[in-house]
Amino acid sequence: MFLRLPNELIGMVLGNLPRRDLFNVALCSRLLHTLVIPILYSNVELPVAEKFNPALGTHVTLVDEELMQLLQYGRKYGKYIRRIRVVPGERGEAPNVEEEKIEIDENSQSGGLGARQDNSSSGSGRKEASSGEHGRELEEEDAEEGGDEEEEGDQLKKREEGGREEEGSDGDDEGEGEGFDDGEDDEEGDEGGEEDSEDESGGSSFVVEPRSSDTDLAIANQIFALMEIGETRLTSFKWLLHTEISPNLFQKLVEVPGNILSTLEILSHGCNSPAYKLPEGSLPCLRKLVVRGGYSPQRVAELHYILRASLGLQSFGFGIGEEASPEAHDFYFQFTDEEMAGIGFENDDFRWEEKPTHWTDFIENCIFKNLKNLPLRELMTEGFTLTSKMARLLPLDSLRHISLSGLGTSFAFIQDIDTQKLNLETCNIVYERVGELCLFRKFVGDLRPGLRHLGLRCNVWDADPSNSDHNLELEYPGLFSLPEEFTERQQDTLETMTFNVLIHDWQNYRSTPDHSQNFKISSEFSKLTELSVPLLTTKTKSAKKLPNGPIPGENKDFWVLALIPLDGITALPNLRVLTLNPISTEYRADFVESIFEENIHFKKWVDMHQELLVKYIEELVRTYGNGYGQTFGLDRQPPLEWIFVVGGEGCHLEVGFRIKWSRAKENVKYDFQTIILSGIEARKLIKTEDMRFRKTLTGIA
Amino acid sequence: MSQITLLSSDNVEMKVDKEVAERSILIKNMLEDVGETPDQAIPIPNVNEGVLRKVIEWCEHHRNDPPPPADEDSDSRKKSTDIEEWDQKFMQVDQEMLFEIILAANYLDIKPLLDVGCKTVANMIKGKSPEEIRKTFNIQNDFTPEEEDQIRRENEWAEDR
Repeated sequence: MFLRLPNELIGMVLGNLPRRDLFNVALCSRLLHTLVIPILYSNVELPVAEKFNPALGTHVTLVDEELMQLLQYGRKYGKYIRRIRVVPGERGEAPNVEEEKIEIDENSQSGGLGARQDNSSSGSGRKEASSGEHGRELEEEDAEEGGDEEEEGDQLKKREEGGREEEGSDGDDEGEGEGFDDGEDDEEGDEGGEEDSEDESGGSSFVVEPRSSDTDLAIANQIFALMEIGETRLTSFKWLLHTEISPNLFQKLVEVPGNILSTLEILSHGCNSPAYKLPEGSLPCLRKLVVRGGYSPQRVAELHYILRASLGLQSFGFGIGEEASPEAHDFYFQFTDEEMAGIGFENDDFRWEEKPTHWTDFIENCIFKNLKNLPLRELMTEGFTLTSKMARLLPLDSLRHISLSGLGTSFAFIQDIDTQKLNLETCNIVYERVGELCLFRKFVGDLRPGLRHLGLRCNVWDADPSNSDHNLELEYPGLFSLPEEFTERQQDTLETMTFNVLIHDWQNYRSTPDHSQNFKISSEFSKLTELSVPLLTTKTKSAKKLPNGPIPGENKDFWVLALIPLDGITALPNLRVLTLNPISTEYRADFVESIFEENIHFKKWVDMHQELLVKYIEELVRTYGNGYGQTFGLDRQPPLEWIFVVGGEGCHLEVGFRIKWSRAKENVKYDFQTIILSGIEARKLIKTEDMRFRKTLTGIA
Repeated sequence: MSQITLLSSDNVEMKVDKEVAERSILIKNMLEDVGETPDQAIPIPNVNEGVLRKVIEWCEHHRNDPPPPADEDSDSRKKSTDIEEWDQKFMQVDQEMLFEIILAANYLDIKPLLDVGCKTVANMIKGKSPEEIRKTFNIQNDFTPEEEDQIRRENEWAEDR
C-alpha cells in the first residue's frame, strides 16, 4: 500500500526521515531507491579532515576526499546537491576547524531572518518575505546537528573568541585565482603572519595586507568544485565558518553573469582586502543578506556595493562582535585618500558630502543610505549603536520585522523612529540599559496593531550595585510589565511573546518587594501559542539539613520561584508553551544550570532545589488545569504542553517540563503527568520562539 | 452553528459543522466560492464513508487549533516525528486506513492531518533495517545482490550519519 501512494506523498514521508533511515529505505526496492537518492543527496553533510600537504609542509583541512570523489564522479549523485554542510570530523582530528561549518544552500525555503524566497523565478518582480522568525535558520541547523546545547554554548563562546583570534587571517587576495582550479597542492602561502592591530590601534590607519590561508583556500577549492556539479545554479550560499571567507570565493559567488543568488549569509567577514566592487544591479535576485563577523571597514564598504547591486533585497542582517566593535575603543575614522583607496572606496561611487569621521557615520553612509531605497521587510542588527539618522533612513513603510540587539546607546534611534509609519509583525529588541526602559516601553507601546511576535529583553547592567537600597521596581516602574494599553492596542494579533528581564543578584539588593509585582499575564491574547515571562525569586530558609555542600545545614537562605498569577494563563485558549525566566542570576546559574549534573559537590543541595521546582511546576499545572476546565469545560484537552524554566548566565540553558494531560477517573477534571527533561533533550522535541530569541539575540551578539 | 452536508464516494451523507468542515482548505475554498451555505450535499468523490468519518473525527478534535505556522514546511519541523498523544491514538489503524487517511488529507487539503499521517508512516520506518521495512510494507526486493552491494558501497557515508 505504501508504494501505491503518489510519489509526492512518498516524498513527504521520506522528508521526515533522518539520513540513516533514508539509506535503509533506498535499499528496499528500485522505486524507493529512485525516490530516496535525490532527497539523500540534496542535503549532504561533508566532514572535514586534516591531511598533510607535502607541498606546503603542513596540514591542511579538507572535505572528506572520498565523498568528494563520489559526489563529483560522473555527477551521478552530485547533480542532486542542493545543500551542503561541511562539518568537523572526529573531535581532535582537526582541532583547528572544530568550529568550522560551511553550508551551501540551493534551497532557500528556510530563512534565517524569516525571508521566504521563491527561487523558481529570477529577478523579475519582488518576492515577499514571510513573518520574521528571527534566528530560525541557525536554530534549524543546530537541530540537524543534534541540538547539543552545551556544544552550542561552547560554540557561542568560541565564536566570539574565534572572531577576535581569527580576525585578519583572511584568505589571500592575490594569486589564489590561479590556484583554485588546480587543487590544493598548488596553493601557496603561509599562515598569515601577525595579527592586524586594527582593533587596538585606535587610529585611522587600515592595513591592507593580503594574506593566504591555506585552509580556507583548500576548502574554497572544493566548494568551487561542488558548485559546478549541481543541476541548477546556486541560489543560496552560507559561509558559517569562523575563519574569513576567501575573497576569491566571495567574488566567484557574486560575480557570475546572470546571477540568481537569492540568499547570502556570511558569518565571518572581517578581512582586510579591499572591498569588491559589484556593478549596480548585478544581484537582482538577492532577497536575503546576512553578514556577521569582526569589525572590518573594508567589508562594510563592500556592503555598500552589495546593497547597491541588490535592488530587491527584503531581508538584511548586519552584526559585528561587541568586543570587536571599534566603538569599544572610541575609534574615530580620519580617512586619507590613500586609506580610502586601500579600503576600496571610490568617492564617485559613494557621493558622500563629507568623509565619515566615526564608525556610525561609516555605517550610515555605507549601509543605511542604501537600505533607504530597498523594499526591505526585515532588519536585524547586532553589536553597534543605531543613530537618529539611521532611523530616518530606514524604509519604514515596507519593514515588517525588526530584530535589534547589542544596541549600546541607541536611545536616539528609538526616540526618532516614527512608529506611526511602522507596520511591524515582529519586533525583537534586546537592550542593556535599564535607564532607557521608558524609551523602549514607549516604542513597543506605540507600535501599531498587527504585531504577531514580540521579543523584549532588558539586560540590566547599568544599575548601581553599590547602592544597598537599590530597588529597580521603584526606580523603574513597569520593569516587569508590558507597556500600558499595549494589550488593547494590539487587538489580539500576538502569537508569540518573549518578555525577559535579566538582573544580577547583589548584596542587599532588592528587586522583589512582594509577590504581587510578578509579571501579570494578560488573558486578552487568544492567538498566543508561546509566552515567555520574567519570574521573580524570593529567599527562603532551608528546612533540611544537608550533609555537605557549600551551604550546608538548615535555616540557610536560598532562592525559590515566586508564585505566578494564573488568571491570565488559564484563559489563553491556545497557549502551548510557557517559559519562565527567573530574574535571579544566582537562581539560574547555581540551580538551573546544574540541575542535571550528577557529579557536583553539592548535589543534595541541587536535589532539594529540583524537588522544589518540580513541586512548583506541578502546582502551577494543577491550578492551570483546574482553571482551564472551569473556563472551557472538559471537552477539549488543555493546550499547554511545555513549561520551561530558563537558566544560565546567557539564558542558553533550560529545564523543560513536558505535560501529558488525561481525564481524571471521575471524569470531573483534568489529570496530568509532568516529565522533566534537560534543555538538550527538550530541544530535540520542540523549538520555541523564546529559544530562538535567546540564542539569536544574546548568543551571538 | 451552521451545518453542511458532505457526500462520500459511496453516497453516504454526513452532517458536519461548517467550522469543522472548513479545516479542509478544499471545502473552505468551495464554500467561499459558493458564497453561502449550500442546501445540497457537497460531494467528496475520492473519499469513502469510513475514511470520511475518520477525517471528520480528526477535524472535530482539532476544530479550535490555531492555523499552522507560516514556516510549517521548514526543515526542522519536517525532521521531527513527534506526534501528539491524541493523534497517535487516532492513527492506530490498519495500514490500509492509514494510507487512505493520508490520501484523503491530501485531496481535501488538510495539511496538519497530512503531516500527522506522513509522520506516522515515517515512525513505522525509523530504526528498521531494509528487510524489516520491506516486511512492514510488503515491498518486494527487486534488486540483484550485486546491485544491492553497489548501493550499499556508494552510499555508506549516509549509513554512518
